[in-house]
Amino acid sequence: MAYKILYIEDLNPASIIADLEGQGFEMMHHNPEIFENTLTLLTEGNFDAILIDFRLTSGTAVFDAPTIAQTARTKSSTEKEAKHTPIFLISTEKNISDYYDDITSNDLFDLSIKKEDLQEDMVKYSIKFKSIIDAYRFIEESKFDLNTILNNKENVFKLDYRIEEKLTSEHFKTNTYFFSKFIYYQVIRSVGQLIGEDVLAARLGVSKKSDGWEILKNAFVKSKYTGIFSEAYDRWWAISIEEFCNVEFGISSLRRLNANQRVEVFNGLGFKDISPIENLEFSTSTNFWTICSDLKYPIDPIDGLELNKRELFPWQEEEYISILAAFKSSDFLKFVKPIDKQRFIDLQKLYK
Amino acid sequence: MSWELWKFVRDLTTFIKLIEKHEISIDKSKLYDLEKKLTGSKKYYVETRDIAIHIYKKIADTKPPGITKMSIFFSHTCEFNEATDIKLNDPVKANYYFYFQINGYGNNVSKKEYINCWRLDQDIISAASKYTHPYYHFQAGGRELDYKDTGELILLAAPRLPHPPMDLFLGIHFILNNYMSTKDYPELKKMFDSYEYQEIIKRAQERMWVPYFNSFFAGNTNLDYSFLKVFPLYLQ
Repeated sequence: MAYKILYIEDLNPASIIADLEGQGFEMMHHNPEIFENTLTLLTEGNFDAILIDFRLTSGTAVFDAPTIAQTARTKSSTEKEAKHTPIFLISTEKNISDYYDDITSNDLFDLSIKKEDLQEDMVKYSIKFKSIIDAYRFIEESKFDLNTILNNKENVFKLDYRIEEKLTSEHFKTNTYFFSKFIYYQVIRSVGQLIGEDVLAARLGVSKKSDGWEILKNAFVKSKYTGIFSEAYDRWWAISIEEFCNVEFGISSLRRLNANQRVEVFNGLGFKDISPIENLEFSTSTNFWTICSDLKYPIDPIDGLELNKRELFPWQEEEYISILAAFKSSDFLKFVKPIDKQRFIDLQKLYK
Repeated sequence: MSWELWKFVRDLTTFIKLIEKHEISIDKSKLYDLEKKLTGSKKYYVETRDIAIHIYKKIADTKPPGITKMSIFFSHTCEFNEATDIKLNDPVKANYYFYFQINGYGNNVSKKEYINCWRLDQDIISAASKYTHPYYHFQAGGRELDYKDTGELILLAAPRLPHPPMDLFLGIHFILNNYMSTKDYPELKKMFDSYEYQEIIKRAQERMWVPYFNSFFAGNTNLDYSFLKVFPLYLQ
């Protein structure tokens, strides 16, 4: 299926257009000059997605991307039968792409990327673009049926009912943009219902670098998430991993075993060439369960400093940084909860 | 009556909010999972595994003294048998499970790990036991210790100490009261003092403790909670 993208850009668009065409997209460039013209194209043009540069004012236009996106979003949310289209924001300024990559400050864009990052990794971002476009199509095709969209037939993976409650509310149930974005940020990109490969490795206690990792990982293929966005994000259903360990491998509790014990059990089950995850400096427990948000390295929450980065939904697990990341002046330090900030101050004294 | 599922679920929701409000270091995800499982369920079947409670303050007289932090993993199953006449029998089914494991961690240099665990068992009537088995009893140890190098300590399953049964709330209440000092964790005291918390614990006591303590009184009709079953060492 073709993917048609409208690229709104006031500077020279040639290189990005060429790169995206190379990835199989049909590209059309639009130089914004008059607000109404851009808006009409955006809302009535038959595009699968819009790629828009944050700053549009180098020529005659007096508006930036958020202004036009806001108008388009309002139009499609309030008019019946209006078409919803994914909008991807690019910017040369890191603070802008970061700001809009945060769900709490962004009610406009499906994705916010630094221009440089896009140019450096066209393949990765092309997969993301396509998966978002596909998600919109599939959500509409499936008539917003959540279990179909998540490929969770007969609710075998025991989806948290609060996700369903949220997504069947008036606000979401007819708005493809809200629906898609909620799943993207609050389910796919949050540890809880689903976990990524780093957290999976943490829970199994096995280093991703070991030769036998792929074989072990593939043993959990039945727990793999195969719903929307799964082409762009490798995810597993967390509950299913624990159940599988229990039923198939007779492991009553992964959580209580440390990494060496977990590896010992997997060795006993015939998995070879797997090594336990080594601990980070300043971490003392190897009962790994999550990852440090900064270093993306396994930690046991007992060794983590809890973050207050955003309001969590009941199905989302707490986020932490490791003590090592804190000692390395992690950007996340400002999000550490006050109670753990004090603990970090005590640790600083201890290790001085 | 206090064994209604909706009451338990409502208490669980309030309990999670209290933990959040007072920032007690209990892993809430397992509690949310349980809340999710019980919402819409028709059966009073409480099952949860490995609720992690993190403790960063030293507990007086801990040996070895180098232990600087501990994780306690609490697991629990409690199923209510609706067919039971509460006046005559214990409504808690025989799949009752109450276990907590304590993982202690040394400092950054030694990286040594220490473990201990406790279980509260419901005695299942089988062939005459060779040792005293109070109907509900606490004992140290558990299968999980099989993985451990036991060093110089001797670990025995005895004694089995008579103790009333506990449910999820009483279990967490027990752990918090025993392992976290209200001096080190002033928020804990505030939570214990709050009306909502006390009501949750009182309702749990009514379910789990009133029949147990009634066994000490004349006129008790409950066959499971008879004085001699609860406290078999007593000579008549």
